[in-house]
Amino acid sequence: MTFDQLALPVIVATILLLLTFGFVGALLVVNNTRRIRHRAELAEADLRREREVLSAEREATQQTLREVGRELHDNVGQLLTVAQMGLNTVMETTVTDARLETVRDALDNGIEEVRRLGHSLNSDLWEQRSFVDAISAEAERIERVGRITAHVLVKGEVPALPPDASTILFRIFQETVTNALKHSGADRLDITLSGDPTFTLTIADNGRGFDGERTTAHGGLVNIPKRCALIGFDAHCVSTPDHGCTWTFTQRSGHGA
Amino acid sequence: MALLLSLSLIIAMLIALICWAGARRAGGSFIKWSGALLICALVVEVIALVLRSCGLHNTLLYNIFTCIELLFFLRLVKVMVPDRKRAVTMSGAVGLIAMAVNYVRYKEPDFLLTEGIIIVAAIMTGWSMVVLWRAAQHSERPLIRTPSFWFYMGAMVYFGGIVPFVGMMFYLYQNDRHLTALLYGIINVLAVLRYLLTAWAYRLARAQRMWE
Repeated sequence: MTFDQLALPVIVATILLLLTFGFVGALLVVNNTRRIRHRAELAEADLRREREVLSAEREATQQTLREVGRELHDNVGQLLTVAQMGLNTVMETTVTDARLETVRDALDNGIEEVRRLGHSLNSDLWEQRSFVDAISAEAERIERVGRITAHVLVKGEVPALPPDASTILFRIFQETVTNALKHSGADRLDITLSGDPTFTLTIADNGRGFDGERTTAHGGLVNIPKRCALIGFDAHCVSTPDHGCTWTFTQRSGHGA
Repeated sequence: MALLLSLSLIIAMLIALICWAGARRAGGSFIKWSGALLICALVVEVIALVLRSCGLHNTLLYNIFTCIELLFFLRLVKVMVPDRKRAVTMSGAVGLIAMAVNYVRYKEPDFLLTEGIIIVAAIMTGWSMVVLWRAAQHSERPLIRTPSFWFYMGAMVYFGGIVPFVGMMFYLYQNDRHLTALLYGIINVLAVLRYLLTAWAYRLARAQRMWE
């Protein structure tokens, strides 16, 4: 057997080997591409499912708030109005009593609060007023009822939010402010609304603040971010002892109105 | 040398058979049919070895087994490519017709039906590549962890090797018997590799309790 005779099988075997390696390489590349695509599809499906769950939760929350708002306005509000009318009748027919005056003032305030709360929970009202107007009105009310000054600063054009998102964010704003009034001892609130590049609401107080690392997360600190997530917002709280507390609510990209 | 290669092949087949027995729990018609093909191949190889030891021709046995293997293999392809059943059946018919035409042309039972075997091997190589390509496109797991990948890779290497080497043997047989024997040895080595890869496929199927 000569070299020439062996050459043909060797060449054929080499070509076969190269073809096999090439084919196997192509198979592995195709399979890898397929798996990457499959993983992306799975991630997309997860994201879609998560969005659907969030949307359902948001709808349920909105429905509950609407029901509570309607009950406050139509039921509790009516009962208080009847009580107010009765009291007025009593005061017209009997001797004026300073204590009755106090009761009537408290009742008037109560009716006003219930009416305001009922409206704030009703998302349909967001068709008639902007979020900026609602925040400004709320700031005025806070100044009126509390020993605190509230400054509202609007930077640029603030985009409109969907009604249900407006309701939830407004409730979060109220909760944040209430917390500041109750616990911080602040005498000044700075509320900033900005639309550039995304919708951002910032609430800063000059109260005693807290140490984020030492404070156990509970109540608002846990719930506020969760509720923000329902409407596609990120909540961020920064606080240091004696330097107040600042909450920032930023709309995530892709969740615009 | 030939005896050593034949014994190596039988050992490789036995290893594959042991692995198949372990993988039977993975279930499915693929395991059933591939096991039947493996047992057939082992029986044929043992009988061929005995015949050769007795100085008798065993080419008739290989000619018949080529037809049987084609049918079994295409049955396995149908399991993996159920939407191409018609094409698989047609290719099976082409393979059997090629073997029959080859037999009619020579009418010599002790002569290896080389042309028919080449066509049958080309058909099985083609289908192996189709199954492998589909597995690559559709498998959501890494291909190297897929039992069917190793099974059909072994088949593709073996049948793909048969086409050129048996083709060369066909033309070299008259001029150079020694080179022909060498080429036959290469085919035997490829067969050993095929059954070792098959054994690995069964082992994977056993570990994963599934065949894909």
